[in-house]
Amino acid sequence: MEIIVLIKATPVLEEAKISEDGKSLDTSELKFFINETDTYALEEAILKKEKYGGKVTVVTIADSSIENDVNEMIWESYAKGADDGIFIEYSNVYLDPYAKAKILSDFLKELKFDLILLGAQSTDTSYSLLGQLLAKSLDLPYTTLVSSIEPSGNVLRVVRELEEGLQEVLEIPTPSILTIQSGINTPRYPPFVKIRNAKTRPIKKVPVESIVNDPGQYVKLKRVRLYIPPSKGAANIIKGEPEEIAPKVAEIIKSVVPR
Amino acid sequence: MEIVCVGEIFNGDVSGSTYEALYLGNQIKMENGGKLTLILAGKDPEQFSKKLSIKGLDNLILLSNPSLEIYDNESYSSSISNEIKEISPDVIIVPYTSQGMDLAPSIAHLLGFPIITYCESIKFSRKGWLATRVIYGGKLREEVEVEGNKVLITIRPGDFPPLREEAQTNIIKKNVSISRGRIKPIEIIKPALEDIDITKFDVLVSVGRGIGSKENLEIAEELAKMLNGAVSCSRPIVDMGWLPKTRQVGSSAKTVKPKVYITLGISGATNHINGMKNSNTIISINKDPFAPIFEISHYGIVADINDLLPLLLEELKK
Repeated sequence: MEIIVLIKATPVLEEAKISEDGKSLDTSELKFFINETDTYALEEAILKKEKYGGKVTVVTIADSSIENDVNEMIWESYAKGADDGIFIEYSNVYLDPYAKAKILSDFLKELKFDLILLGAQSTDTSYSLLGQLLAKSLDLPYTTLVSSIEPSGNVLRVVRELEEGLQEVLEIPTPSILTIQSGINTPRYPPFVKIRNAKTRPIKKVPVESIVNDPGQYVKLKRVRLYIPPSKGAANIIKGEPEEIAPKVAEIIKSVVPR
Repeated sequence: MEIVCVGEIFNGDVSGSTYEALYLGNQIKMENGGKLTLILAGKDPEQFSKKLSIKGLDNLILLSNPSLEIYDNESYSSSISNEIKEISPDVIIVPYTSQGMDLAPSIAHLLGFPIITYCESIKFSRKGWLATRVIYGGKLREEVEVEGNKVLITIRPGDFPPLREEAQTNIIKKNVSISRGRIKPIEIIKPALEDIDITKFDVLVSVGRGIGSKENLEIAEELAKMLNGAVSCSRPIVDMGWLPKTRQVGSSAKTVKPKVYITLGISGATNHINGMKNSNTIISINKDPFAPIFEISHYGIVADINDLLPLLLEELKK
């Protein structure tokens, strides 16, 4: 199976800082990692390759200002078992899922693949749209929130996670696009030596302009403002040394728990 | 203004999020005037006509076909969009559920509407539609604008109250024809009931990623036992296989309203918050002072679980 995995660089955010334009996140002090559900998509692709043969290619679209983190994401993917890594670079432009779907669709339509996998949702902008929009653009069937994939004859038998523990079983042909839910597998942690060796392998860098001119023109969801919501915090905040606050917390619990 | 909500049938009933979509639809109607229509597709949606005769809802369109018994993207999106086309709405509202996440982008595509997912609120301005979205796990908000006067939005379950007051609604029943596409729905699997029911407890001790180790999970179990409660959790704990799915709290898992809800290392993703925010007293322990869980907590304790939890247990034993 030839599988393409779309991975997204998402930051770990404690205290957020907004840039002066009021529309973007100040990323200068942030470290970016593979988006959580994308790690499950990548693992699923590698498991399928290990079982049925084939090739895994990771593709990411990211701002060139976070190049180092993106390189590390791809090296990590190699160390886990990905064969090729493609980094589509852009700069000085905000790209929404529509623009990214347009870029990926133009780029991927030239490639041969059976399956495109990506995480069901990103921890940053949480649109859950890229896979679906890309499927429309490439005229492929898609399904979302996938918690199991098994080849069955010439189709895939796929399980989707619904609410309240229910699941739906469906059949979908290839090529198709599946968005992966966390928990479908247990992503592996590659040993350090594998990561170190992976760093010698090339990453294919593709400037976005070589795929589409002026990618910003495809943006439909314009971010006009980004802000930190006014915090009211907890009604009562308790902080201090653990020894100091443990009795206080115990008192609170005792006072509210019904006897 | 023409407002259309897309309802959904889940596990044999109209989903709670359908009524929430209607609430937002009715709000938009009250602000801008116009008509509110609900479209519900299924094998036998007529059985819900009385339930869905709701004050504020002008038209209820029931689309039926035996092939619509189990959701599939292609049959649902084509039959629902065909119906929406007739109405030519300004705004379409779809719940952001497992079905909505799958279905809404296809409907938007078939109708040529832009789609904004995961919206907290929406308003119509001179330039077009402006939506507010909760992003970065609740730490940031963004305002997103689409040009033009048409939009499809998806809303997060639990963000709006339900619209349920019964009244007269104009009901239109239609048998639709379905031509099966590339996706073939097979069956719905229901979970085996072999665990406790966390919705029945007065006290829940809920653990999240920040719990750190399995040893701490054992302490949480002990704490819950001491308080006559049970241990529940957020999604990452289930993903790691530390607790069964039956213990997961969230708008996509189980919604709980205990007397006391104690969180240990839960940051407070929207899905989780919308599954527990109506608990009587919420006590949260998290080392990240910016964790969104504190926003809805009555008591917020900024501390490392590893340090505090053993001490807390000792104190409670006294």
